[in-house]
Amino acid sequence: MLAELLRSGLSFFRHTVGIIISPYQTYRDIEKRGRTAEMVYIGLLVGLYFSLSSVVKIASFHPLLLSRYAFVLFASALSGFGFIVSALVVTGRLLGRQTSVGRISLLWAYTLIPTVVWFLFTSLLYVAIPPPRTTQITGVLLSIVYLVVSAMIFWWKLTLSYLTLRFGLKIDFRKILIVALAILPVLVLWTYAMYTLGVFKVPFL
Amino acid sequence: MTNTTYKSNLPFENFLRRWEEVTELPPQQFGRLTNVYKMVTGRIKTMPWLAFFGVSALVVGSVYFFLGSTIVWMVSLLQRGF
Repeated sequence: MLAELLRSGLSFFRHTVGIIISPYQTYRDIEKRGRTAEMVYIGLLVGLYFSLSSVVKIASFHPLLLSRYAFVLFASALSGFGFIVSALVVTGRLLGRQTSVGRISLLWAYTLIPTVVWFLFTSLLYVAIPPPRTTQITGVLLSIVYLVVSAMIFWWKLTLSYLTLRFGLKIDFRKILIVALAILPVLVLWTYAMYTLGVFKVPFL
Repeated sequence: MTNTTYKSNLPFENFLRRWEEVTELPPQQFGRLTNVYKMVTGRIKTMPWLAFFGVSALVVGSVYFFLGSTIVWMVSLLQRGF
């Protein structure tokens, strides 16, 4: 058990560095040799971020309030993860692809790393330079830098999501588009539900 | 009973593994656009950050060109979105 966790930890570290440097080859490796226990580390990373964001959002060190808020965020993110993985597996099977839920879960779990990076970046910036921005030159410049960094993380996320479908379901570009369009209503509904419940303004997907 | 030992042929085994990995996925065909697809994905497969930066700068530059200082409002909204 401990040995497996250590091996998975090393594998998680290698894959995390890999998706930054060489996403395509790393996703091939995750699909072939990835360990399900790597998701434990991704879950810990997400949990750590939510604990931090609870402190920033609530601006109080009351343990009960903080843990309750962090739990709500984590449970909501987990529900989104579950919805997407289920939608991917179902649409994949409708297209005649037999895929394992564990593989798709692991591949999609790695797409949460760009999400955590963006949310962490936004939270830290919120503390360092709180909004609103001004329309002076410094405000506009900072806004441009923020948007460029956000867009770069978005393209990273999109690439990893594409690779999840490419390697997880082993389908071509046309079918990837079909799957993406098929799961879009699930994403929109989940995003709307989270916004209405006041959990996420920007969906944590 | 004879005890036969096989000499490992590592380059061939590596080639075979690589071949199986590559042929496992269906090839992408876009007709005349296949070369464009290969050029784009070639830039993303390894160290994609330069390509990401270029596209992002272009998109944000265009948004700033069309919306002007409205992007400041957009950023203030996004910053509260976590």
